This record gives sequence, structure tokens and C-alpha cells, in this order.
Amino acid sequence: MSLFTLTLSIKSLINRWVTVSLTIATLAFSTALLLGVERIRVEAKAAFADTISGIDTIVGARSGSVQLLLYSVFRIGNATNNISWESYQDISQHPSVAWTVPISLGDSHRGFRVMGTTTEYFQRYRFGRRRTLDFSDGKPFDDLFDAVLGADVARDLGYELGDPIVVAHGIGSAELAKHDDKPFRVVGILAKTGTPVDRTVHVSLEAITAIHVDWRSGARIPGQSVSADAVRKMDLTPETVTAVLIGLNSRLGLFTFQRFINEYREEPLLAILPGVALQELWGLLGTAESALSMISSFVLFTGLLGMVTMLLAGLNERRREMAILRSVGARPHTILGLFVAESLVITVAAAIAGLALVYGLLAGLQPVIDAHWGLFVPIRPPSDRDLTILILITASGVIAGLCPALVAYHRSLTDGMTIRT
Amino acid sequence: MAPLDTTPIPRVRLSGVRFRWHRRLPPALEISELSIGRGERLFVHGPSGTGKTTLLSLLGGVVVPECGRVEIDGTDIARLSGTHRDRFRADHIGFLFQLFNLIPYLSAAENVILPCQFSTARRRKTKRRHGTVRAAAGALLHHMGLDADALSGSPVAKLSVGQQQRVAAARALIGEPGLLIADEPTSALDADNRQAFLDLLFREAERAGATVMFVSHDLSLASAFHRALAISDVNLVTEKA
Repeated sequence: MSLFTLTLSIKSLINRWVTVSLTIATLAFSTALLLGVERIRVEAKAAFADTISGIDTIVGARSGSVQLLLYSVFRIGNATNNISWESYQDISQHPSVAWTVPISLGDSHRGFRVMGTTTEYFQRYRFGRRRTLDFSDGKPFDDLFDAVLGADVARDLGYELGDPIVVAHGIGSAELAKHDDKPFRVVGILAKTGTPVDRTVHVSLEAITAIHVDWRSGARIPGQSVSADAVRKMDLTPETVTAVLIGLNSRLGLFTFQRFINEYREEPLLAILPGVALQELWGLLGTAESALSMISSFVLFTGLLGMVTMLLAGLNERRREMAILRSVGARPHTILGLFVAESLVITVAAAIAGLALVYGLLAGLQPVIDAHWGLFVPIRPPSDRDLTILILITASGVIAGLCPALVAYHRSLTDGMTIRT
Repeated sequence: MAPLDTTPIPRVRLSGVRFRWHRRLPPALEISELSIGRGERLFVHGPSGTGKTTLLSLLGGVVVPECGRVEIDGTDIARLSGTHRDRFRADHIGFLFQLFNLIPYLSAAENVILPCQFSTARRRKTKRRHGTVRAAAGALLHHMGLDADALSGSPVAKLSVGQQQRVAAARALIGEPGLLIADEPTSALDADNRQAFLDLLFREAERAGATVMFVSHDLSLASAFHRALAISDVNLVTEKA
């Protein structure tokens, strides 16, 4: 294929710009879909993996390891059971354990989950490549009714330091039961992390106990009310926690510790390795993932079929064009090259347009995706995998384009310069 | 009229040629001997279906005879391979058809230089004479009474039929092919334009030193040629029929 053939094919395509641009658009959309699905898949995995860096193991009541991972770290779903404070004490005194951060979940504030924990959480929690939590404003909680907000909570609800907030019982959005007798005060706002931390309201473990003193089984005990001031004088050691995030002295002690937890006699517990549980989660989602990839591939296939259809349909009306080219000296293989060049130009244009579309959509939807699913998709240059996909798309385009090219080749052999219309 | 070239090798020579479109069909064309001299302008006429198109296809090397020789400048193109015939045609023959000769998405000048894209020999000749193929296209169009610059902006489909045929004539003659084959190029033109077109075509063919083989059923044009030939005079098949 010479430069001349390429120029000629581009001019010919421009001449038929309406059908050609529609074909390019179809292919560009399928390319964008393929790349977009891939991008979200990779970024979702990366975001999940980023969330759990620095935690060696998580202990919770015995349930599924994926479930424990999801509710303890990702605030997805609920705990079926809690761990008693005594068990927590036992765990934290185990010789392999370097640090523990207990967490207590179950309440919410205007759709955002409230998590009771210790101030150590702010020092121990790591995200991304071992980055620590930073305060964009204020400081960790100190007083009983202090609250520290994740970046998204503060942004979405427009909170500033000193604002009062009321925690609702349970995690439904209806907020039927409110702990409105014991309001909190915002003392800190965390910097954006791109993890579920951004969507969490952090309070002390004692505060969680305090707002539940006069509650039993999810409802206020009738006739019994403890005021916010009175509660400060009570013993607020929690009876239970939801899960414990644990750092070990050495990763070598991991399996010994895991056995200790799994064989713990006082109550059924489960220790999970976040990385392993995450792999298990991906395994579960694998089917959906491959279904999505398959659908995208089919969409691309449809797009390629559309291109072949367009080129084949154009053959008849371009018979004269081919005959003229033959009469001025074009050989049949020039005609073949011309058609291959056309499909190449179309697919390359579609690949570039598809890539541009992905970046455009990403730029436009980034805040929306972030706000709705807490998934921050960073805009990065195309990965090797993206480029491989683009090259594969172009290659399949050229291969698909061989079909009309060969038809044109054979016709130009038989038609010669005879102009048939 | 220009004097005939007297070089011993004729531009075109067919001898003992027999051709049939299909093995089972009777021959469509049988010519025992036909020569066209260098610089000669030959008018070929005859009703359709008598072998005019077949003769053009043979000369253009689009088809090959089952026996006999089709010589152009001494080369028997019937013996060449398909690729070599294609190349030979590109180098030695300019074609001019009835209507819509032009590639619609190229400008007039781009249409004119097309043969130079496919034939090295014609590109070299063009560059030797004009420096660049673009300049050659401009000059040829100018000779044809067209302004290449004025035409560059508009698609060739917008040109009048007469203008289109003049662009096509310039294209057929760029790079000075030895043989110009014209198949009814004037049939879409009115009488005045027809004569003017023929004059231009002859003048440029002479400048390029090309032999003109002109096929038409319009006998009124015949007087402008050196020689007029009814296809039935040379095709033995029609004689038998």
C-alpha cells in the first residue's frame, strides 16, 4: 500500500463522509465501550486494593470472609453479629499483634455511615501506596460528642467545623429513629482519599455506646431517658464492637494468629487476610466481568459488520470509479490496497475517536461516579492493555475490510476497464 | 493534416487475431491484418455488436486473443503476463471514454496526473518536459482551454460535460502515451462542442506524438481523420454473418 493509495482512499472516504462518519461513530462507540469497561474494571480493582493497604488482618464475627471484608472496610452490607469486648481484649493482647483498631458500625447520618473507632484509626489507616489520613481541617475527635467527617460527607452536606450533626439509628435513608437528644459537633474534616473513608462519619467508640445507653433492640426504652450530660458520667466501655482491624508485628505470625482466631473458644470468630478475601470477591465477580467484556466484544463485532456492510454496499456504485482507475493504469492489487486502506483509515479514526470519547466521558462523569459509588477514576494515559485493545480493534478492522477488498479485487479483474453501471 | 510517420514498425499491428468471449461461443472478432501508423488518426465505426468494444479490449490488453498477435510498438501484448499487460497499458495507452471519465473526489489537476501515479515511464517523461507533474497537468489543462487554478476548488462533478471530457483528454495524454484510445468521447457533446473538442484532442495528440484510435458511430466526424474504417471491413466474423 503506497502513500498515494492511502491519500486516494482518504479522499474517497471524505467524498462519502455521511456514511463513513456514521460507520466511524458506530465503531468509536464500541471502542469506547470496550475501553471504558476495561478502565472501570481496572480502576475498581485498584480502588478496592488501595483501600486496604496497611491492614494485615481483619477480625469479625464468623460469617463469610467476603462479607466481613465488605462491611468492615467498604461499608457495604451489614454485620450479622458483633464481637464481645472481652474477645477484643483477648485479641489485642495476643503476642503477634502490634496494634488493633476496633470499629463499630450500624448508625448513619443522612445516608453516610457512622463508624465508631479509636483515634488510633487516623494513625493506622493506610490507603493507596501506604498514604496516611490527612486532616484538611480540624483534628481527631477528643470530646465524647466530637465527629470527624470524610471529605465527601463534608462536601456533599456542606458541613464546616463546629456544625452540629445528629446521628440516625440504623443505616436506612428514612432515618426514622434519630439520636437527636445527643447531637455531635464536627471537629475535623479529612482530606480526600478516594476510599470509603471519604463517605464515613467517624466518632469515638464511647460515643456509639453513649447514644445507645437508653436504647434496646433498635428502639428507645420507653420512659427512660439519659441526657447528654448525664451520660458523660457513666462507664462507656463498649459491650461489643463490629470488627477489629489489626496490624501484626511480623507477617510471619499471620497464620499462627489466624489459627488462634479461628479456634477461639469463647465465641465464633473469623480472621481474614484482606488481599485474599479481595481475590475471592473478584472470583465471585469474574463471571459478571467476563459477561461484560463479552458484550463489549459483540458490540465491536456489530460495528465491524456495519463497516463491512457499508464498504460492500458501496462497491456497486463505485464500479465506475474502479474501472476508471484501472484505465489509468491501476492494477487489481492497487484496488485491493485501496479498499484495505479504507478499512484501515476507518478503524484507526474510530480507535482515536473512541479513545477521545473515553477520556471525554471520564472527564465528564468522574465527579458523578465519585459521588454515586465513591469510586474515583483517575485520568491516566492509556495503559499497555488499552493500546493492545486498540491495536486489536484496528487489526480486526483491517481483516474485516479484506472481505470487500477481495470482492473489489475480483471484480476489477473481470470488469477490467469496462464501465458497468 | 500532419504527414504520416513512416517508421517501419507501426504503432499498432494485429495479425491473425481470433477472439471469443467464451469457449462455447462463436468468435466475436477475427482480424487477419490491421496496422495503425505512428501519428495516424484512425476512425473506426460500425453498429454496436459488431466487435468495436472487443477490438478496444484487445488493444487495451483487458482480454487476450486465443490466437494471433496484438503488437503495440512491436511488443506482442497477448504474450505478456497479466501484471505486465497492466503495466504496459499504463505506460503506452491513454483512454478516453464516453461519459463520467473522472474520479469525482479528485480535482481536475489531480485527475489529470493519475496516470503518472501508476506509470513510472509516463511520470519520467512528464517531469523531463515540465519539471513537475503538477506543472504538466496545468499546462495540459491550459492547452485544453481550462484553468487548473480556477478549477482546483470545485469538484469535477460540477464541471460541464464538455469540460469534463477535456479534463479526461488531458489525463489520457499526460506523459505522452503512444496510443490514445477514444471510445465515443463526443457522443454526449453537442455539434459545436464536438468539433471544438476534436480539434483540441488532435492538436494535443499531435503534440504528444500519439496515434489516435477513435471509435464512434457518428460518421459525420470521419472526415477529420486520416483514415476511416468500418469494423466490418476488418472483422472477418461480421463478414461471415
